[in-house]
Amino acid sequence: MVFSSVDFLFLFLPLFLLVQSFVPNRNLTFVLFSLFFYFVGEGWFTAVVAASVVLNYLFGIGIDTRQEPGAKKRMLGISIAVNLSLLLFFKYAGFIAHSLFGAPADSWIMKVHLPLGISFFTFHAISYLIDIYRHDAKAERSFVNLSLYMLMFPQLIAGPILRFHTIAGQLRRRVVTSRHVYYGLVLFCLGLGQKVLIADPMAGVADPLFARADTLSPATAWLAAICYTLQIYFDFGGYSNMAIGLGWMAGFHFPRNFDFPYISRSITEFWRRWHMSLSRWFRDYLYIPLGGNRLGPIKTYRNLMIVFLLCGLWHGAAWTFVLWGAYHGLLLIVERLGWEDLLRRMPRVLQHGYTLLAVVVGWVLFRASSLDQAGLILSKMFLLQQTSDAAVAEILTGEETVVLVAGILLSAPLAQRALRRWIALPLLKPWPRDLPAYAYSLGMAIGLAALVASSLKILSGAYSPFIYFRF
Amino acid sequence: MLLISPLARVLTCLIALLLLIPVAGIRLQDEARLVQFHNRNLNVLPPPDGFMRDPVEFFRQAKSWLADRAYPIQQASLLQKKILFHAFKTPPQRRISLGSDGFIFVNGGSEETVNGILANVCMNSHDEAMAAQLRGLLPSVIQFASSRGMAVDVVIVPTSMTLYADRLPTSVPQIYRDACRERMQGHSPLLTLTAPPGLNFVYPLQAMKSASSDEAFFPKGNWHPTGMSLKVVRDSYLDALHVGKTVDDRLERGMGPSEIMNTYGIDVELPVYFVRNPRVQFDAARNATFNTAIRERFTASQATTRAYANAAPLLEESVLMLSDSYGEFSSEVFAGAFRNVVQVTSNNLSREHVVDVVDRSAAAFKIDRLILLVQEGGVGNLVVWANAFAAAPAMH
Repeated sequence: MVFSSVDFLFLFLPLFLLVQSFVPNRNLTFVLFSLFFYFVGEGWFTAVVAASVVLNYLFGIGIDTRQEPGAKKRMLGISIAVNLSLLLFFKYAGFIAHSLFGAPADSWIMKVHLPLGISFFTFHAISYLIDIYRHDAKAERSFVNLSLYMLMFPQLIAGPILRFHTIAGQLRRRVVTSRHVYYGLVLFCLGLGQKVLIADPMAGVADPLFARADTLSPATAWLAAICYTLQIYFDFGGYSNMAIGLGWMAGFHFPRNFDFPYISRSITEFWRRWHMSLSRWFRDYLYIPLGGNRLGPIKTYRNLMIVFLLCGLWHGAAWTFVLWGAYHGLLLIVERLGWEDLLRRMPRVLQHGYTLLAVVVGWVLFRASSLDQAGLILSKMFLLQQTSDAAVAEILTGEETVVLVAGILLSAPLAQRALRRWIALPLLKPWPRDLPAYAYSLGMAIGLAALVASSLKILSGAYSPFIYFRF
Repeated sequence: MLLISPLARVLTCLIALLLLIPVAGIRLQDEARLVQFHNRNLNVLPPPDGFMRDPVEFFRQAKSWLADRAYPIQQASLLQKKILFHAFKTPPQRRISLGSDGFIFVNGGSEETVNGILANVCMNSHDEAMAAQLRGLLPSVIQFASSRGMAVDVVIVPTSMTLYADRLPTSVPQIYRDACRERMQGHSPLLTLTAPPGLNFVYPLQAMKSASSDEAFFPKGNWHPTGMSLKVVRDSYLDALHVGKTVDDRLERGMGPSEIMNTYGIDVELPVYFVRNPRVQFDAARNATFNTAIRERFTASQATTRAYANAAPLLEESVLMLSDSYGEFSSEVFAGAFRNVVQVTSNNLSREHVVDVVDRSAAAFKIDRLILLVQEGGVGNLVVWANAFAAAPAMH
């Protein structure tokens, strides 16, 4: 079930909201709704995520109750190994067997089903276990509360990734006021609009172009790359906003996941703005334990490369993701080696230009179905291969042209800055208290307009790909 | 523990009730109209026993059931397409393109083959080999018809894509635009195809080109020609028959809805001609007899037929027009020249039943003339029919 589907938007979500409003024992009902949400898409594979919850509940108590540091550490090691084994088996076994041992495409190991969101719930589980080990949080004695942390449907399949210690308190006690509902609803509607009104039309351009990479001209190769750049931001960002909005409506405060990443002036800054919850997770649970930047420059570069190789692999079991991770790791190392200092002395337009170029090239690696296809598109983008193709104007419809321009404009915080005095926008935290009543009316009007426009598209059965299958 | 303020509870309920409208409104939906809207059978609710067997498939089917019926799906789809068309000049589907000067073209038969019609109309039908194959089969067609006591003619009607190739938008791939322009400039083996004696072969591209500067000649928003363009086709055909007289009908100019946009519920009024001939009447009794005689040869016994009678014809002949959907529009105009015209659309007719349909028609009525009429992308259909005729036993 995806947020931008008829079944979620017009049946599951309203029923959930009604139940949350009236039925007591809200954490339990939230868990039951989340299990159903997962079961609709994954069927009996829900047992995998359920088993993961049970195991981590026991592991958490096991770590918490062990007094001796060595035993605590051993317990943590075992529990993390079990979690990673699950991830390794379901997500990477086929990739490893094929890449390293040449397993044929029709062998059983290549057909292992990838349970949706396994990367997300595994990271949640590891966060929970490490937070207990570090005494950042206590083991959750309520099985329902831990289930809710790991299974909560708003963030179950696409994040944001929650670190346990940031949300443990809210699992036990939270408050929903009318401001939570207002900001949550408006943010959900705007996120839905980002996904349905911007990301989906851009996917309608990018997908067929990537599918016929060999026939692209330099111009259409750039069009494919730029449209995908917008698609992934508004798709992922929109999905995150919907999740955060739903969280607010249920009394949770999920962390912000995107902060206008395409206005970054370096790749280092980009990773402070892109998928922030994943960056924070890697920083807290991998980069810092590896030594971070405390062990001298060489080990810092090594740590960065390890983190980004794994970050790439986390996104999907394919060499394109590994290359994408390595590419970003390398750019970060180069920036640390002095390139970032040089950049800072350059005009801002060059800083933005460099970052956007690097990001767009990265997205080609990320989106391509194979290394060959990535190489083909990049070679066309950089004029190493010239093929004639339809002109860009021939490919884009009027709607797609408008969406492309709107997507570029909305990638920068221009509208937000211009409107925040008059409209109660949900992206601002902490929520301002001195706004006039009309600011809320205008915000609601914009949210409802986005909801109606998105609903029109959803009901019409417009093209709406789901890009999180591999995550 | 979750503390919800009363106002938050009221707001949440209002939102939930608002979001439930599409599901609650399913009861208001008319299934027959939904079938027409989707142009396919609606998804059905899965049987409960399918849940244990494959829950994912069960829910997939249930979601499809819901998505087919959510209220107001028809109005939402229509409104969305209207907004796209009027605000963003975006066609309702990728297979439709909006040309210059208000022209609207159908590039393909489905979203899977967005340029399939263009390929047939401007390329495949004008292929030298295809034309040669058709030419080679024409003697068999003559033999087939003459053994049944009929004359036979072939009419290929040019489409707006070749007549107005210069109005195709840049969104149409260059290869098709170039091919259509070539046809518009008169490069086609169909123009030089010489039919054997006993068959009139008519491809009135030049005659239609000459008249095409009138903006209502071939309605800009239509796939099918009407009015003036069909009159030119018919008169070109009668010229080929050396009739020597003209049909006494008249053209009346007016405004009509775009046929293409109308299928999406979008109102676009464009100038159009109507052919007025008070002597030509729809012959309901003849049509019923005709339809009954042949319909079981069609998929699901669905034969689209027409029958017209003319009180004062130029030729005392009864005509059977075997055609694609262009015949549905042409038959009434052609009836201006003949005593009777019965027309059948071949869209639901498989190749092996073509001969039988002709024979059943001939058994139901006396048929003097068989006209095979297709739009220009349908030359392949002509070849299929000709092959079927060539394989049919002669009848004496």
